[in-house]
Amino acid sequence: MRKIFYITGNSYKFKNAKKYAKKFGFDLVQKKLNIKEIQSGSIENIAKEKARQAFKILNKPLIVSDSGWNIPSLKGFPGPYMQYINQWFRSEDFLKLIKDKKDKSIILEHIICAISSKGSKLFKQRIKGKFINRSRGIGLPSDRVVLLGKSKNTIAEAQNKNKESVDDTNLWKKVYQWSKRI
Amino acid sequence: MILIFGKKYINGQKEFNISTRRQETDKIVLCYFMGDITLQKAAIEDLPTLISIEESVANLKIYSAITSEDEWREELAKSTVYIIKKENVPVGDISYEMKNDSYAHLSGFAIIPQFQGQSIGREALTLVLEELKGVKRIDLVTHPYNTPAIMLYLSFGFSIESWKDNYFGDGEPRIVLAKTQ
Repeated sequence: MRKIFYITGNSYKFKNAKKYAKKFGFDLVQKKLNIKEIQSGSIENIAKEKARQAFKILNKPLIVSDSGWNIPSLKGFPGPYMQYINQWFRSEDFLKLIKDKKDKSIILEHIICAISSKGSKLFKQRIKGKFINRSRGIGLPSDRVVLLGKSKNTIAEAQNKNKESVDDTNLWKKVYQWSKRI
Repeated sequence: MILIFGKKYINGQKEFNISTRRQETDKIVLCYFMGDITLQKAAIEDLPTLISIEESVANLKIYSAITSEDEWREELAKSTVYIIKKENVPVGDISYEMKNDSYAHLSGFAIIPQFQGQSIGREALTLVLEELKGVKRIDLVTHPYNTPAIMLYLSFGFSIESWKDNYFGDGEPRIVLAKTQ
């Protein structure tokens, strides 16, 4: 079985990605690395740079992932800055920002970058969601006020119940299929 | 400069002085200082300095800079404007307008890019908030992508109030933050 590293400190993300790895002949190994995130308005660039830096350290096939939020009625805010915003915002702050907006939709942009000595590739998934009007569940401030896809649980509630908040099966399949070829 | 009087304040872990100083020209200038950061009250003769500070951030879409003399004259007439100095070098400006006795609006706050990331803004804001102690509401607007500024304000107890599209008429949105005490 080929070993591939997933650079993440998030065990929930790792567990989810590992589910599909075996089917494709991969032994997915979680690795935490201290990588300085670049400041960029593009999630793609952040993921690419993160992968490049991690590969420079490990020199082994690896995967990194990143995600950003796009609130269409707020001109794409907060984009790749969600992780900073989540450090300071409360769930209520998100609700205050969209309180006067008719369009309560939000788009999760999920990016995975796979890299090896033979090259790298970006994989993207956009998942539509919507804000609800009060926070539910225990988790990140943004996760407590957003329903993704057709889910009736907020992202936080889904995680609390150990349910998948995002169906990213196809995305991971593509990642492993590409990784297998190189 | 001669120190006329000084008073020590303790703010969290930091100790700073609030003093009135008399310059050698005998002109009385209100100054606040904290470590090597000084707030010097701006006057008409400081227009070139203020314009130069604002021009350093004028090309950023996340800040609505005041770069004309007329706008600054208006700002100086209605607001309290300070030049932020580090080791006596102008590095930024901060201003507020008293809307009434219990309500202040933080109308401008800029740090020259090469001096950003050195906690100068944090120290300047500490001094201004100390001056505004007792004012029931202090609010401000900032660009949603000015993440360091948003984090700074939230860390000082400001909270998000609302989102305003095209706030200054430049097509750019702003977030309203307010601190009530």
